[in-house]
Amino acid sequence: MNIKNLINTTIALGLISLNTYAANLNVTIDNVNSNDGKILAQVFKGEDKYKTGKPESSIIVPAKKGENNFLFQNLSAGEYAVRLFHDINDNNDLDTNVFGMPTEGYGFSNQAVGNFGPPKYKDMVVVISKGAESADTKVKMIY
Amino acid sequence: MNRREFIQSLAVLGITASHLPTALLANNNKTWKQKYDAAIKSDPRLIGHQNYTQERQAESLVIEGEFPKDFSGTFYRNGPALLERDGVRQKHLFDGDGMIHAFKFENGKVSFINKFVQTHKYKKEQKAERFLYDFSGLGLKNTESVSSADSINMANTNVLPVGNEIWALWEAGSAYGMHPETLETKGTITLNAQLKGAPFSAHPKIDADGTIWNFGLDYASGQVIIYKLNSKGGMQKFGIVKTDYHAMLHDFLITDKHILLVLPSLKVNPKGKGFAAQQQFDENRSMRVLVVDKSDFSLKATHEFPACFLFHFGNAWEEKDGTIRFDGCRYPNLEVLHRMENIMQGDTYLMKDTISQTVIFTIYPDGKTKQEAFAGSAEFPRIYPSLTGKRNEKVFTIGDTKDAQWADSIRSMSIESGKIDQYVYGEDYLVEEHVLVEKPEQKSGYLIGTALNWKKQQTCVSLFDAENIKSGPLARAWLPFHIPLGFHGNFKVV
Ligand SMILES: [Fe+2]
Repeated sequence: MNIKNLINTTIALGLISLNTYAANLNVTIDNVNSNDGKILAQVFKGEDKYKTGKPESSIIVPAKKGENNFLFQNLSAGEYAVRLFHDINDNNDLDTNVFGMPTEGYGFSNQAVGNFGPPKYKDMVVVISKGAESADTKVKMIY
Repeated sequence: MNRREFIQSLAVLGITASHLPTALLANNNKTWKQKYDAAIKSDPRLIGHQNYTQERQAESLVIEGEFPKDFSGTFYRNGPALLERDGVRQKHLFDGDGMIHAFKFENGKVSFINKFVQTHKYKKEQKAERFLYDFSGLGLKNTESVSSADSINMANTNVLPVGNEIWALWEAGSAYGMHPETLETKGTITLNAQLKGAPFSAHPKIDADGTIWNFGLDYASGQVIIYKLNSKGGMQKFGIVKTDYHAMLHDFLITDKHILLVLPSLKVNPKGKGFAAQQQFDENRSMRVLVVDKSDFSLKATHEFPACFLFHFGNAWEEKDGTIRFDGCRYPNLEVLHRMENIMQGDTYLMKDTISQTVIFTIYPDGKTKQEAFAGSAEFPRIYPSLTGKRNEKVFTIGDTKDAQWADSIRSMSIESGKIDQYVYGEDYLVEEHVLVEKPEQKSGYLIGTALNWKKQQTCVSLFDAENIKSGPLARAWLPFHIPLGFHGNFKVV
């Protein structure tokens, strides 16, 4: 599946499930460092799914320097975590150095940043309350 | 790209650990500063480790004697300078922001400029007017997270002229490129995409043909990256050597055929507050020498020596029968590293029971090993550059002759006969590394280095005949002020 298809599928899935799930999760990244490439993001529902890498939804948006906004649609009430990276060279991969350290920007919901290692799940949690129409979260891109 | 690949590439984020020790909360660091401030009043020798913020320039330094007209080039030095912000003093001498000092020699005159390396950390903290990164348990509030080694890269250990730049070097992260005249920072050096942010040690070795060799240890995995660069700093080749070593690794060696990774007897205590505090001596662990093939980076052999610690090596070479010899400045344990924490809180730095000595290590073709120690204290070993990886007769070191605060003397020693050629600056001086400026005919040249006269509160740079050190300096230039004590430097001949 190419990127266009992935985006289309995501939108399509969203439309289908519109009646079941109501809330949007608005994501803001305020420190993207260039217009190059795109941002690939995933949202997870709950710690187990985050740890096992099973996202609720994924999205790709073109990167723009400075502030970037996008949203995950139609999420049910609950606890969420977002992780994303800035695929600056458009190779669809989070590039890493020889020791596995990311060499492209990456970030997490709730502006979670790891200290001497990856951030903890509990630091990236965003809650969508029952009956809420949306929730907001900020991501700090780590370059 | 399919969905699975997309998820996999994101999954890297979940499993990637940065490779730095965990900082723990600690005691009140203002006390740390107060201790130092009180101590310097009674022991002015501590001036060398005073917080230093001034970027300065000086033309036509006052000269004693005469610098040879044909002696031209720039002597670059690096060391921790910014040690305090907002009333908070760093705990370890290794944790000061790096400052480059450049002494330029031209037509018998000497000029000076110094500038901070504009690292990510320095720029951010300069703007905030306080320390933002707490990696040694300073107990700071509202800190920034340490997301990679380069986020706290202090570029404070060595400076190497490379092509049209100088590179400010640290141990655990990238080199910083700077302009050789203005000392303006250009940014981190990325040798290639795979090596972005990878550790590039402060002790590269340069072959006679100009090839630059270096290493970097990934503390988490124990993998050592080996770099081979051309003389202009362009990537030629890199490789990985796997080890089970995760502690501090400061220096290495090359011969004409091999790279020697010498792993001292250290282990890591993850509970230590900060990098230095986590390093522990392990008397049950041999010092190991990994012999790595220069052509394909394969591990050829591992040899063992009795437990010891070394920061620095002078040189290594191989004899016709395959015998490997190298020298280093050997400490009986790691006390020296922890004393550099004491000195930051103003304890007088007596080296007498942490003395390092020049030791010649020999590895015979049958794997047997031998080590011979030479009397007297010795650190910051240097040799004639053209002999790197080849047999050298002399090693040039600094040392102390009577319980100095830092070092009070320089010497060369024949590692064959033990013959010493020494000059004692005296107790008014805190003597720093001296480096060789070789004459084209080889095995002769100048020895140049700085010393801080704590009574005058001025730093001088002195030039010696490397083959006749005992006669004292041929010439000496005085800064009208002092600069902080630093670590390493190099001379760029013009
Ligand atoms: Fe060093």
